[in-house]
Amino acid sequence: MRRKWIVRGGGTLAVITLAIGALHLPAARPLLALVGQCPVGRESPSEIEDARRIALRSLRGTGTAPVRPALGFALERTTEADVREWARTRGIACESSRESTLLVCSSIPPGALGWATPAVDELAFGFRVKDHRLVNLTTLTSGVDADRAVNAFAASAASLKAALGTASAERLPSKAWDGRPAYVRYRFADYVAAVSAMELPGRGIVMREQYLSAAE
Amino acid sequence: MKKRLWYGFGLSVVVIGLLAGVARAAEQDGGNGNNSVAARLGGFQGILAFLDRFVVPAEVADPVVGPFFVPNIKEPAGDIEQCLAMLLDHDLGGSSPHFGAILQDQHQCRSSMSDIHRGFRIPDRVIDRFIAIVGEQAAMAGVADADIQEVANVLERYRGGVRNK
Repeated sequence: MRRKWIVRGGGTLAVITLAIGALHLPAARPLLALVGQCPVGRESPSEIEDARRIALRSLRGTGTAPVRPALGFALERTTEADVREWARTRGIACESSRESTLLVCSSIPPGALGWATPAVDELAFGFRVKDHRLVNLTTLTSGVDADRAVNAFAASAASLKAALGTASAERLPSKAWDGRPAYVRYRFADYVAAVSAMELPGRGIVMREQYLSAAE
Repeated sequence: MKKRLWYGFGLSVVVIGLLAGVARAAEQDGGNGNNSVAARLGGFQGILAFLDRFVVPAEVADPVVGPFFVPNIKEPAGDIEQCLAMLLDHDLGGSSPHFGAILQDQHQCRSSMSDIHRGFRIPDRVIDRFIAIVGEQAAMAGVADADIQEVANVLERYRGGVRNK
């Protein structure tokens, strides 16, 4: 009797597993969409890291970066624990997710990222899976007023230029914000940095900075 | 005789001039008689190539937005990119259907942004990042400022359907 139930239970489990697997085949995607997308559907940290490596093939440049500035943090050296300590001493709230490979800190006050640095809405730290060391750092600030956007952009661009020289591509904002998207980008074989600012409808000027290890 | 020759020469110059003008106009509007933003971006194919080559790698490289685009980089010009390219082409004045297109793998582009993004609980800041990256990549690729603004306007219109579903 017990054996019969084990066989039945195992069989049912196998059928369910096969059915779920079949739903993920390309041909069955419309069916999967009908039942409301994959409830798992969220990639694992390793898969996200693999995808980042693929993306880096088209983002990185050539030559080794003389230094790899990252708002005072050290790419491939700073750990999640280091960032948590940095945040704790400044009273900054951070939320960890994706098995501690992503740490998002909110409402960064002026000066927290170095002397005279402006406030930042969101600071996101990406850590690699194997040792949880920093490989990806981005900032995002929305609704920046025009003067602040021009000044903050100029400060970041100047800081990168002092460390790395001429940018791979750049379009700096004029002294008075003219509404044109602005950007600075550096591409090396082991490092990518970008600063951008553009006006989004209803969101004001959005500024974004990214400092990325491209070594792997 | 001489008068006829001059007349024929003059007529040829006018015809050549007209043809050159038509060719230049066709070149400017993408060759399909459409002078829309979509045409300037190369229509569906141009937008798809831009998404595939520039936008997806940049989105994937962002630690917050990236995970939403992992399947896209593994499958070049995949379903989501094709549906988004059609939507952008349509909303920017191109000839793609707004929704409902059935792709080669039988995936059907859906109409409801809310349904597509249900369960993802995407906050405003993720949408800001997404649109900012598209704009940044378009600027770096040399797209005209006014066209970038139009693309941003189109994407912004869908914010309500994407946010916190």
